[in-house]
Amino acid sequence: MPEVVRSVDIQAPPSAVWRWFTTQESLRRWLGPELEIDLRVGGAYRLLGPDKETWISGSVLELIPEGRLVLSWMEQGGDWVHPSRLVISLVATSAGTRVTLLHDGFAGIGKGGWPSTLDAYELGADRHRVLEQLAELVTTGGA
Amino acid sequence: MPSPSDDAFRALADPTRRRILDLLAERGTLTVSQLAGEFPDLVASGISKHLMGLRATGLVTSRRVGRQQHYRLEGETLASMLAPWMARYEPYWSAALGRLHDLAEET
Repeated sequence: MPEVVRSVDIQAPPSAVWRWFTTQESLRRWLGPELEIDLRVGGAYRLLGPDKETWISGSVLELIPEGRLVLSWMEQGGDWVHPSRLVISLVATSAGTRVTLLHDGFAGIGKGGWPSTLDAYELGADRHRVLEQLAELVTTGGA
Repeated sequence: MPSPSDDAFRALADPTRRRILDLLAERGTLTVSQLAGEFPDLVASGISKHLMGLRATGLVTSRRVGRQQHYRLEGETLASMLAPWMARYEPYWSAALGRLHDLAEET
């Protein structure tokens, strides 16, 4: 399956790295300055994609302090919403922390993981619900 | 310039075709009539047309068994079509991790 995997070694403990995952403001500093996120499991987010034109949206699938952040990742464009998944995980090393980012396209298509892709389809088809969540996020101040 | 990904995404832009791919992914191999049974609002010829469109992109393949065509999903075709799309993210993610690295080491 197509995927992007990137790792970085940071000379700081996982607790210091995770500090940059705990609020919208701290995530904006490295993930993207336009990020809007309701940072809890099931919470909605949106972010400007690599082309600085396409909006990415989805929800928080997992949030494990000092462990991992998993987002469903849907690229909004035309009639088709490309569904994929972003997993950012932290592992303590002797020198500090290894952060690994995995972005997999169509995770598990034709395999056991396919139902998660189906869910992503349904989220994509039901884009208004995502927008509603975002609207709610904006009106509540995204605290 | 059109790329194979454009064809794949165009094929996937239709909800009926996505549902066909979902059904093939869930159940393995299906005949046209089995697939048509899942779409009571559509005529069988409409399903055949969608299947031909999907076959043209290589997303599904068919095999004749007796009088029936059996269709199956080609997951690897979809994977290779999506690879260029995924590749656009490589510099994006390298840059993001670089920023995280600098922030976490500075503070």
